[in-house]
Amino acid sequence: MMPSAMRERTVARFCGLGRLTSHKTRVPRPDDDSRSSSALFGSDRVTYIREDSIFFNHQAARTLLNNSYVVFSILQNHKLAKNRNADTNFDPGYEIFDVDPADLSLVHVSRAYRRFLRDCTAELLKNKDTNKMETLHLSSIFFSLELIFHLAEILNLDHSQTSHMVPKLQEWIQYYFNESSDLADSVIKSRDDKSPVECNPDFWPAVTGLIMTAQCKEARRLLGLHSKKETPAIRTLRQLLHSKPELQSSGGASVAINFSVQWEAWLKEVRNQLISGVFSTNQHCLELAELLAGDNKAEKLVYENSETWYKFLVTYVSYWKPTVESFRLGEIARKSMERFGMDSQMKAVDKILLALFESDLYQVIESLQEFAESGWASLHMTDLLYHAGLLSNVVGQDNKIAENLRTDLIIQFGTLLAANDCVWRTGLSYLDFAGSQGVGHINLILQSRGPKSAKDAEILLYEAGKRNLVKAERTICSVVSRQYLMEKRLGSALMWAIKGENHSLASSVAELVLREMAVNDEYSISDVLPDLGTSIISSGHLVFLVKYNEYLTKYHDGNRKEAVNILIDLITSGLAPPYFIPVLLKKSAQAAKEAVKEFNSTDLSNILGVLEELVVTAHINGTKDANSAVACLEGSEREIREVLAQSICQAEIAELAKM
Amino acid sequence: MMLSEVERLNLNNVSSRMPQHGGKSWKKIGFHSGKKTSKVRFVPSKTKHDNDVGVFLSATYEEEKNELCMWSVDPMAQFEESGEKLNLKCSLNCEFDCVDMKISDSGRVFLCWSDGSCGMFTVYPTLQPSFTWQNLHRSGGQLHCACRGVDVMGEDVVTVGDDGKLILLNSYNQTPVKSIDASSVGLTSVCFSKHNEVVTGNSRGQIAFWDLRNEGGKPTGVLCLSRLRGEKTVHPTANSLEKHPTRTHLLLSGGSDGCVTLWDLRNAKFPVEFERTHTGPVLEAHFHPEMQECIVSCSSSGDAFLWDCSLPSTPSTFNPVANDQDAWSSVGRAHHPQVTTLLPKVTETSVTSLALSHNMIVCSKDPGFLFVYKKQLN
Repeated sequence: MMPSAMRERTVARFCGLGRLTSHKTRVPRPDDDSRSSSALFGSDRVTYIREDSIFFNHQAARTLLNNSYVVFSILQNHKLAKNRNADTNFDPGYEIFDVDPADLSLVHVSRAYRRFLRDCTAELLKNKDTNKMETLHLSSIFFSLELIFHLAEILNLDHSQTSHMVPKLQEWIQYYFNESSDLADSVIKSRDDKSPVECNPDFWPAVTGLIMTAQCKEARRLLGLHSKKETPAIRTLRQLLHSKPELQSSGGASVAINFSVQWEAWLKEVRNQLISGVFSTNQHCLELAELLAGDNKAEKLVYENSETWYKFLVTYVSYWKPTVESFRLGEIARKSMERFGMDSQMKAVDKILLALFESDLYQVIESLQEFAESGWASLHMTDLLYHAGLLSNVVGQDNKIAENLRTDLIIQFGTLLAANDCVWRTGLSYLDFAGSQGVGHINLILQSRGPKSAKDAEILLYEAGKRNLVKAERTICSVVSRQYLMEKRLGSALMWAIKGENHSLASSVAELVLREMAVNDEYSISDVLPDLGTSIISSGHLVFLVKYNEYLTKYHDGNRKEAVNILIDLITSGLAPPYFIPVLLKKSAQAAKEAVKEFNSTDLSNILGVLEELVVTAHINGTKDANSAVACLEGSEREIREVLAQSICQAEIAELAKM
Repeated sequence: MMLSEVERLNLNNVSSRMPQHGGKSWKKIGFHSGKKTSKVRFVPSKTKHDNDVGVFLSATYEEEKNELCMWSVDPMAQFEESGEKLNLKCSLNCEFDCVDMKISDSGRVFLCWSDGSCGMFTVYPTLQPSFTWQNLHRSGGQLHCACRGVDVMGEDVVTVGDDGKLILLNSYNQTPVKSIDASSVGLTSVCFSKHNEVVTGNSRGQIAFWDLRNEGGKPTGVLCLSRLRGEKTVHPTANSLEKHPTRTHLLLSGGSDGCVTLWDLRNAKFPVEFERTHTGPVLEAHFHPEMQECIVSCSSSGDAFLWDCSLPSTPSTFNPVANDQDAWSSVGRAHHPQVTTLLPKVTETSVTSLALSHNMIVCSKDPGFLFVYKKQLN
């Protein structure tokens, strides 16, 4: 029961990158005297909180992340061909893994991102198991992102074609708003002999939609199905659609001039036909001819048939400003938005598209961060613009600011990923591209991420090792070593302590092994000791343990001479900890019994001296270790003395005989 | 027989040669991007002319919902177009990370889990769970004790784990047959060398030989991957062990130091090391089951190599009865293997597993890719 004097509050604590813990705490009331620490913890439950992301829960988004990470890496690691023709037959998606990065351009990279976004949207819509509302919401996000990346690519990355914007914008709108083609297909499919095709209510909307999205050939073909196609109105409209000049997306100024001349001539012809009254018999044809002529009367038709302001914009520039330059698009975009009355109710996607038309790239990045997709889009867009050298123009002439912006976004996205068990290594890989700040974050992440298993620890160690993060390597090893120590897995504890060059920990483990052996005479880690190399030098306990193991191995293998020499060294060197001396004395007595000829009298006397010293130390100083060592000897001390005394006699006799 | 002190033959002249990219000889025919895959293995065909020759399994790790998936690839198709996706035949949800996987000739699948269990599945007629040996490898602490390696010979199955235990199982018996405290550090890999004889590798780079008929719990021999690097002794983890499919005296090991080592057990003092080509830990190394003079290996640093050890005059063929006696005995001495890069190293993410069958290779690469390559006939 919570004391009445306490109030309970939830406290959240930052516990490493991308993670928080939350637990309840009791806050004493001012009149309460109880200040003990135990009273302050109100709950035994600690909850770990992490930031959620669509990349953690949706397979389609994971695939997007996987693929885009590879393309992102290519962009950072390789110098891309600046002037490569982007119209080569290149599949930006999966084939990118087999393409020589030197052949790639920023447009290719952008197309690859778009392809991944499109796949992600399709995959989300395909998956029927998940929450329908959520899926629709996510797919609309990824659809919008594809739309944005495409426009950014046209306006900013596809430099060779900046002078001929309109054809690219027409392609853009056709790609995402293709209802007119679908409508035309359904009209064609549903025709029968009973009624003429124009009686289909979708006929004229389909023709209008096709002309608005500059698909004039398709519109002409559809008009050709009209039962009265030979009437002057329809025949003239079809002729005008046929003769409409098309601006090529590639080509220099001469192409644009040539087009302007052709366009003016064609426009004159359209206006003459309008004045002649040829369309007066057919209201639909009249309205469409007015649209072709760029007549202000047609503006209403365009407005009524445009779902969005940017579709309106593309139709507007197609017929009113077909040779418009990119720097004028901002002004037209704003007017289009005003026409739609969207000044006050702009959504994120509207804001971004407007900012793109106005070349306000800083606003593009800022607005992209409002999308609920964890910063993927803002990072990848910023990175593309950064590599295109466009960000330094946005935030002044200082490229440092642009670089910092990109770095911050990488760190934000990388740390988000690194907090998740599935994609944490992808997070680290992103952070690799954030310079020294990124390395700092990786260092912290590796140290704060508790390994869950030995394999996990090996992976952490590899990640630290390949970045030369020595401190992180040592921390990981020490953490694992301590965990094994708690489990009494002394072999593994020792191995990880040595791996992490944690000499004190290695020494502690060695001491534990020795103490265990002093009591049980059992030897659990003999397999790891022979090959420790130079790492043992740092710890006296470890040196002793390894030498003792060497003695046991040699004695067991029958190399008694060498074994006895090691044993004598161990006893007389003073390296042996007091609690282990009884073990050595017992082993000495046993060896003296079994192989007395390998000892000389001096060695045996020294061993006896060690026994005397131990007993005296225990009686005079009464240290804990010495006392317990003597206690261990109790019962066998007399026997050891007798064996050693006999052995000394035998050794002296043998030595005298040799003289 | 203790063989802890061994001399090594360093193929420095081999190591210094940059691997050639096998873009022309190996053609990518399948690709999938999805969950992180720890192991891929081809399902053995039921008959010699089985159409299912391109069926393989993949198992995931570190995912919120881990899966065991069965995929198919048409081996006869000539995939010229890019972006060919793999056909997912079926998938099963799994509770834990997959650490190792082996498939017996009879179509039984054995999976090691990160919780210390080992699961048995059947492939024919459909992929389905058969039995799980729970908690084979256990620890009392916070660190999960994983079952790190499994191998199968006939009905006998052996597993090793982070607890240092070597456990013998029988496919028809739900109780372990035998358990040996084989190492005071974690065991990381295992393979049968003969019936009743297994080889284990541990995280200290020790490769130990065990006669399962012995009661003593002592190895019959020990080899060592440790080496002196500068002033330090390096003890690489033995991540992978594999016996040659027909020449049982040949053992292949892959270590966390990036070295692939070929041991001739008749004279284990002079192993052949294919070193310094992988810059990260070798995660798997395999003999090619049919091109028997070839070795493939993959590593954490994003590399996947094919080592063609055939004699220069007798280029690698698909003929399994080709006499490779001379090729193996003289590799590194009289001639050097031809190294081919299987996977373009675009990123340094781990190539976690490789599977070989007929003239195809499947690679799994972090953060969640599967690639299938087909050998192009010249």
